[in-house]
Amino acid sequence: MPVFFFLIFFYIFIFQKKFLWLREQWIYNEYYEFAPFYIVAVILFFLIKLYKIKPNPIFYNKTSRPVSVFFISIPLILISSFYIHISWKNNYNYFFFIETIFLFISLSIIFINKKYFSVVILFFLSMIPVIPAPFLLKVQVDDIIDPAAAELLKRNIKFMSIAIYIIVAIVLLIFTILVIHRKNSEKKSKIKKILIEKYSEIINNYLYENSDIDETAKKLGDINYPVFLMTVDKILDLIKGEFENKIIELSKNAGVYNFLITESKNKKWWKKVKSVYHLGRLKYEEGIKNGFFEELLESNSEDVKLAAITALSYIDNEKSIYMISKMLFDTSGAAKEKAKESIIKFGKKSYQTIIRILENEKKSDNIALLLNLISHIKDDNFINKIDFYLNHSDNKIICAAIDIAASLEYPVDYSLLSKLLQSNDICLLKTVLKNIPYIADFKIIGLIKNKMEDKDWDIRYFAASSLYKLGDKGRDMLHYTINNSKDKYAVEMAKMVIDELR
Amino acid sequence: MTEFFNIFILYYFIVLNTAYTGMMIISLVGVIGYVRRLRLVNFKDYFKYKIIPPVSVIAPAYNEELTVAESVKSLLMLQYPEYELIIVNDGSKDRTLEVLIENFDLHISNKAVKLQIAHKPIKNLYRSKMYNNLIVIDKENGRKADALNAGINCSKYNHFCSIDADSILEKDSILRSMRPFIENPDRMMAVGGIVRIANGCDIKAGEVTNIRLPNSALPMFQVIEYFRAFLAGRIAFDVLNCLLIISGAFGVFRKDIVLKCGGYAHNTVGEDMELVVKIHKYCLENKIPYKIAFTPDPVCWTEAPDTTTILGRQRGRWQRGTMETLFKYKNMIFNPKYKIVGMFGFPFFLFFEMMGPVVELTGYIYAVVGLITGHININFAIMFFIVAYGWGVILSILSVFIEELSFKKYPKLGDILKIVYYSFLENLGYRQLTLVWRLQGIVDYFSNVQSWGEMTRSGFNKK
Repeated sequence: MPVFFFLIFFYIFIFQKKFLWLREQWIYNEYYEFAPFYIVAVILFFLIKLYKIKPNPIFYNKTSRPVSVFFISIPLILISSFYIHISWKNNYNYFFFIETIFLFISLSIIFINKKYFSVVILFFLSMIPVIPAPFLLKVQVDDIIDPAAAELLKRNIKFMSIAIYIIVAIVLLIFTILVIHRKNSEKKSKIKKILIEKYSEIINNYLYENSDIDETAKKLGDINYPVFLMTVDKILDLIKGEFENKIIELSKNAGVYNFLITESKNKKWWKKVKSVYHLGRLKYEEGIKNGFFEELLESNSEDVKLAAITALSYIDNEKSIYMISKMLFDTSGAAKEKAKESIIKFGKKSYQTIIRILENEKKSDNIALLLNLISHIKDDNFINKIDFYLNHSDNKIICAAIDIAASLEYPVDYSLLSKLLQSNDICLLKTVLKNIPYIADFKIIGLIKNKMEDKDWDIRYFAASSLYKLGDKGRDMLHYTINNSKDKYAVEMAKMVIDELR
Repeated sequence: MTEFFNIFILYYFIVLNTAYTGMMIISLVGVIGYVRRLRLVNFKDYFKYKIIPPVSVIAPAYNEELTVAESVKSLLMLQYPEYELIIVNDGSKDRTLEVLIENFDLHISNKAVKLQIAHKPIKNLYRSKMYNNLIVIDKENGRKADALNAGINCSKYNHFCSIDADSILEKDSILRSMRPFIENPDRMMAVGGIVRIANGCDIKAGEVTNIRLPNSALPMFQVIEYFRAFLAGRIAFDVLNCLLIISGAFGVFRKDIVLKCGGYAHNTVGEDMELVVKIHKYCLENKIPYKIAFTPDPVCWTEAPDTTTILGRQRGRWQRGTMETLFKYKNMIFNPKYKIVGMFGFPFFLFFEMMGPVVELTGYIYAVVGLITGHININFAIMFFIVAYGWGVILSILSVFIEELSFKKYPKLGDILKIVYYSFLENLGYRQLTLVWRLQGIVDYFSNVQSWGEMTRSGFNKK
């Protein structure tokens, strides 16, 4: 490819004057007004045609094909014939141009595969209409540029030069910011590292060598609060109990609360969110009493709501659990999910709060949601209430109750299971079958073996895997199905489940 | 006529670059917010409290004998509470299956495949004696979409992650890409992660241990291109809620919605884009509240083509895939029923991604021809070229800037300077070459060429 382009430039350079003559024809002759568009179209067509011959990108590999006489002979014959013809007419300009084109094509063919030859010839033939013919010289128009066009061109060039200055400035600006930012962040991270080491050492001494709190606060000196909070955050991930309380005390003493409360009023959401998060980590219980967190939970910003829930989940007391529980029915989906996540994190601590809400809840979707949380909490006290939900009229609630029964390994009444297994609700059936090994014993085998022949793949799968999990008798039933069932899908499923769960 | 054409090219250039610059600015704002939010996420809790749904990871493999063992080992070490790994050997002609059998002690298992979407017949289903969660499907060749459909049919869980078997996922990438599903379980339909270039990086035991830039020019240019595509383009589309592509190399989907949409389409080479557009269409037509998101923190490392032959085929195929999807769903273009997807996402792809190569390449040829024929003023042409070149450089450096402000994957200042240096070179030849390849993709589309083209990999371990 480089040779290909080198040839073009070489010939343009050698035959500059002839090209200038040609150029004049194209510029000032009305007949050639469409010449550039025609040439562009032909080049595009030529590229596509070349590509279609070999449906791989063009200009990839150097071709190693030896140059045969045939390749060069045809252009040479054409050149010779034109030479004789044009010499006879005494029009040398025209001759030079034609010769240049032919020479260029014939030489470039050396670097192009043989199969492209026909396309190259076609390209040349297509170019004939835009090769200025001698007779058209007579209709050449005057060498005058339209003043309006000249003025427009001037303006455009001025506009472009301004654009160039702007672009150079922007490139330099971005590049400078990029380098400065990188240098600064490297510098900052070095300082941060040193500060984290310093704070960690001071906090360690305070925790393990019982240093005095005021003295420790003094040692911290002029605190870099963001770095200090980062250090504390890491330490709090590792310690709990008394040490945690000591750190909170130290933070209070070092003025961290004041800093965070001020920051939480910042208009920039990320600063607000970060400070709220840290207030939670440092168990800012005052915030629950004075309505600080309540206000945040009612914020229009989802980010602020999420930060408040996260903070409350760290505070971890009855009031914070209740405040988070209220968010389970929030309009924001993300807040709802965060609240669910936090309740699950609280575990059994949140049980009473959830039960209180559950008892007053009427909407079946909300009841199912609360039951779903209880299945994660796994509190045995719910066993007293489970039958009520297992016998509920709403299938969604029954499903959630079955999940709880399974998580608590509570044996569900045989007759109820038998009734549930007759249901036409696929979701309910799947839930029951999936959980059977945890809520029933092998006596249920008789009821679920038929489900192996169900038309729904999931039902067959859950029935088979439950049989497997029900112990030897269940596995015997699977083997019995393999040997005796006429339903090929049941046999296939039994085999697959044995293989999968083995 | 000449004047009209000059003005058309000029305006197209201005509109195109303004649109890209606008997208860059949206991305810049979006990514800063994203990173700030990310700092408050505690991924450890997802593990500890098992609040994250299980995932089926599906990796189609075709003639991947060089890389498949390494990739599977890496995929088996993902940090995720519960997942199954399904490798689909799509009728490989090399030793892909044998390598898998030897390395993972596979045995033929009974198959009871849930036939929900059509695919070519499965020859055998293998399970590993070493890893409970590894399944290998050996099926007749039917291309990537077909292999993914077979994987979906064999998968257990309601979320699946489609990846390329020759890619390397960072250990926590699935955990990170599942975060939007936890935060928004009802609406989130699909999430795409970022794909980065692994050429030049140190890779040990299927893990990127030292992030470095490629040593050769071609992958270097692709590093910048990927920055632009993922850190600029996709983030902006995500912010605008009209993301039309989730890379086939790494994306997580909700299986139920994918099944409702009929799975991956067999008759396209752009099955990744087609599926995402189909989900948009399905949800909008059925008035289902939904979100398709892009998350820039879960990383998938991939080996970029380092020869022009393979890169050309890849780019041609991408262009063809885009065209196939755009034409298949042409009724969505400027259709207010499809909201921002129809009014902005689709037109953007149509005018800039699809028509871009034609207009830009025509512009280049016209500039050369116009100069020769004297229809373009040489001073103006030079200035226009400098502006076009400079604007291209600005867009590239801006995408490097977004990377610098967000994830800083390349630790040394020297790396950043090297990327900036290549940003200057990229617009001098490489960009024009990609235009030719993309134009060839367009020709292929109109010629109804369906081939994928051979994709030869050197293998991550060649160093």
